[in-house]
Amino acid sequence: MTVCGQIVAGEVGQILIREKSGEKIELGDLLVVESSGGFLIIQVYDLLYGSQISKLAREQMAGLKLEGYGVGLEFFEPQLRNYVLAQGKVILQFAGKPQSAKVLPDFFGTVRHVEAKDLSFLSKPPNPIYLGNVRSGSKIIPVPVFLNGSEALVHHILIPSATGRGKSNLVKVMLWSILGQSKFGILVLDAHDEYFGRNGLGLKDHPKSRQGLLYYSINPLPGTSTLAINIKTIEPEYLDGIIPLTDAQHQAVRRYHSEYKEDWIENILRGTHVNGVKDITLTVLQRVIRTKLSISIENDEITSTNRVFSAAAGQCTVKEIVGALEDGKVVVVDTSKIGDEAELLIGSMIATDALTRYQKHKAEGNLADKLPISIIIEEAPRVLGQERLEAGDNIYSRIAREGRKFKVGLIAITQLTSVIPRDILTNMNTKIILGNEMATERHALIDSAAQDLSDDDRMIASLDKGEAIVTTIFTKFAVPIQIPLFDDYVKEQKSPEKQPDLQYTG
Amino acid sequence: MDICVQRKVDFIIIGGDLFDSNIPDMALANKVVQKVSNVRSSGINFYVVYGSHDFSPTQTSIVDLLESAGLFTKVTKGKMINGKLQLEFKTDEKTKAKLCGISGRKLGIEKEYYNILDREPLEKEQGFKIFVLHGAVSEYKPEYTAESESIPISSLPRNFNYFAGGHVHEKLIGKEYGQVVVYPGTLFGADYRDLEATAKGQERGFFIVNFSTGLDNVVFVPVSVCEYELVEYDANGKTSAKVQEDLLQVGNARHSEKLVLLKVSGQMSAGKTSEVDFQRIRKAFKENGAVEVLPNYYKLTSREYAAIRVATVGEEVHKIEERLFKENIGTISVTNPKLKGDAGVRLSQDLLKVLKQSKKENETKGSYETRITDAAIETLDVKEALAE
Repeated sequence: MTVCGQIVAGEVGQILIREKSGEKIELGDLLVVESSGGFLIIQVYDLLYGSQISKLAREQMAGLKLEGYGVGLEFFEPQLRNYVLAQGKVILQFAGKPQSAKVLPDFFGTVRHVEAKDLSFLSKPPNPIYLGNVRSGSKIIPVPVFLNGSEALVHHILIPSATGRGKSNLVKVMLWSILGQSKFGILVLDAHDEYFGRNGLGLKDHPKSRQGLLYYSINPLPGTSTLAINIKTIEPEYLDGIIPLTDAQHQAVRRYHSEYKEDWIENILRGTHVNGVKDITLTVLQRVIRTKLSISIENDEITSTNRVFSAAAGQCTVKEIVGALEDGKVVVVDTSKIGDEAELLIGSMIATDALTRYQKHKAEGNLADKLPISIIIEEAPRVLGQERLEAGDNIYSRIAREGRKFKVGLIAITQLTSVIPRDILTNMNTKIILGNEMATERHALIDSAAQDLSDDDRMIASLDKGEAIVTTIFTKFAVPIQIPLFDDYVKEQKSPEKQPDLQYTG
Repeated sequence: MDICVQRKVDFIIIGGDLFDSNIPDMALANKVVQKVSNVRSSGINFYVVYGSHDFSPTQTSIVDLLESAGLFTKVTKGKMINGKLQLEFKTDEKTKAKLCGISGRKLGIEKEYYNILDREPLEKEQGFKIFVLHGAVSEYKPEYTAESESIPISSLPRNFNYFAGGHVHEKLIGKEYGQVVVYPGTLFGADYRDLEATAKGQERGFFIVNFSTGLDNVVFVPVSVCEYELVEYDANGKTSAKVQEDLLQVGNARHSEKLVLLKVSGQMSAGKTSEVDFQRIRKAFKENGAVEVLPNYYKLTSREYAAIRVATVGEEVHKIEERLFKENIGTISVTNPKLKGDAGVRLSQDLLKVLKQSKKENETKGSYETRITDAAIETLDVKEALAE
């Protein structure tokens, strides 16, 4: 056991540790203090200097050295006189089992860096989702950190981060560990076409991708599915909170749907007159459908400039996707070339049908047998932002508020946590916090975290790329982690699965 | 086929499932062979692939017999080279059209063939090219078939002039993705849903395709197998006696030479569903000229009595079997991977197919038992284990 410091003062939540000379205590370090029958873990959240020499004397010495009067001037036994003080808080008490700390560590107790054996209680849960390894400061401890997917997914996950801090990398690592388990259905609305691995390593390279992965794109690779949505399958409710409409436009949509059922969009585009709908409203609706969804009529035929919406193809796409989610598959929908509103509408269609189907399962008493479904939504404020929700709820906010009861959850990714309403943030019971320089964003997270992170503001600000803090209602403390680089992780994990010998019978 | 002869077509493509079993009823098979033989003698070739129904992984299919007799030509010839499936073209002598294709299979095998298909040589081949497939293309599947297996259009090789499909029960021409994919649909109907759609006006028939160096046109030729009459009756709030009386009254009207689809739904106010004598009602229809009566009373319930039924309306028998196997295979604890998951479902279906075969006329009980036992042993691949 290498001692790295000693407790010299403090109070609950603010333990002061003197650093041993030659040892380095870092911001975010996990330190262990032995106690009778177990140990306590202290997390360092601040560092400061300490000195036995008065401030005046130190300033005078610095002046002498700076002005050239003190060549060779040194402190006598400097390791005794000047030192670093680390401020920490007890995050866990272990006495046979992990529990929240209710005592102070022994006064003047020695501390050491955490070791893998100290964290053996962080065992692999059933239905694990791998996030990375435990991190103490910048040191990686060889203890893998998992979420229990069955619990965490339906209680929603928030991934807040500034740009370039490794959000996509984290999601890829998570999906890699999910793929092939057949324990959860995950819908990925992939706005940057970065998860499947069209041009490099990606989920397609997973040994079980054939069984567990579906990919939809308007530009499909051989063997993958075309993202084609039949306009007859679009119900007015899918637009709720996704495409901004006035009351008059809403009513007009309902009238068209009531009159023409599945052909309501076609009749709006063709300008068919319906009683009670003014010409100006019809014109605006036509423009909304043309501009937001890129659907129009050319040469008397329905066309879609984004190539997603079709009058002939794609009758089963949404049903197939929901079926695959129900079967525990990962479905990646490449929305990179189809526009914001079209992406959100497709997500809304799938999410609405998935939630409806699971509500039905619950009503019929079958929900317990069903696998959880989670929907990954990037730039979450587009659908969960305060401003957006003031115009009306949408399927994503419904899932955030009530999806848990039906085993449907969200994985919301955002750079702007502060614009998401507090009640929704509070419902996100797991937050995987990556680095963020913006104080307002950090405060929004700290205020809604599952653990008390009120002292961790500086620690969050200092998180480097790939470093994160996992705060969840399912652990006793917020766990600092290091997320592996996806490409490295895949190379370690990947072992080509032997394909069964296939005999061809023509 | 008579129309094909009259129109002097060059060849006929059958995209699988000409029969609903690999060994169909012999009387029926005999009729088909006679007809096919007559058409062949007019100089019209048949190019075929297996469908999922008329193929058996362990037994010879009627399609094989017809090929051996020189009546059919399978266009699925190919071989595995370094894990890739290389298909060979069959050139039609008269038109020089080049054909190849992939037969129908179950539970992922067909999809797997497409995954390992060596597409490049197929795509580079010059000439008028036709690809014959059995399975449905995902992008064009009708909504009610969402849960059935299909192949994404990206799996098909490019640069073909025409894709001739089989499995889908509705006529369909898909041109959305630069490939012309055509399904003629069923001529009659495999289940109640098909027949009801026909009765409601859905056209049945086949396509005649004109081509030279490229595709000229695709013309639908309607074929009417019989006349249909759809009788929909709402039993809501009526007693079982009243329902019976009303339906008998409808049955006693003329239904000359029609196939009657009798659809009864609603919750009766009194009496049991079993008290409505559908046998008698059916008889009344038939006595008044109906060719056949197909009653559908799945949605008929009673306040007094509600039976538990398996939700099967509109679902094909093999689909019901597949679903039930899938739902239940997980409840059986086994270690052999062949008995688990999709492989287990596939094996169960194959075994059921063997066990379903009835005793043939003039076949002794002993021969029948031996035939079925041997086929079952072969299906289960346990010959060596039993020998030990």
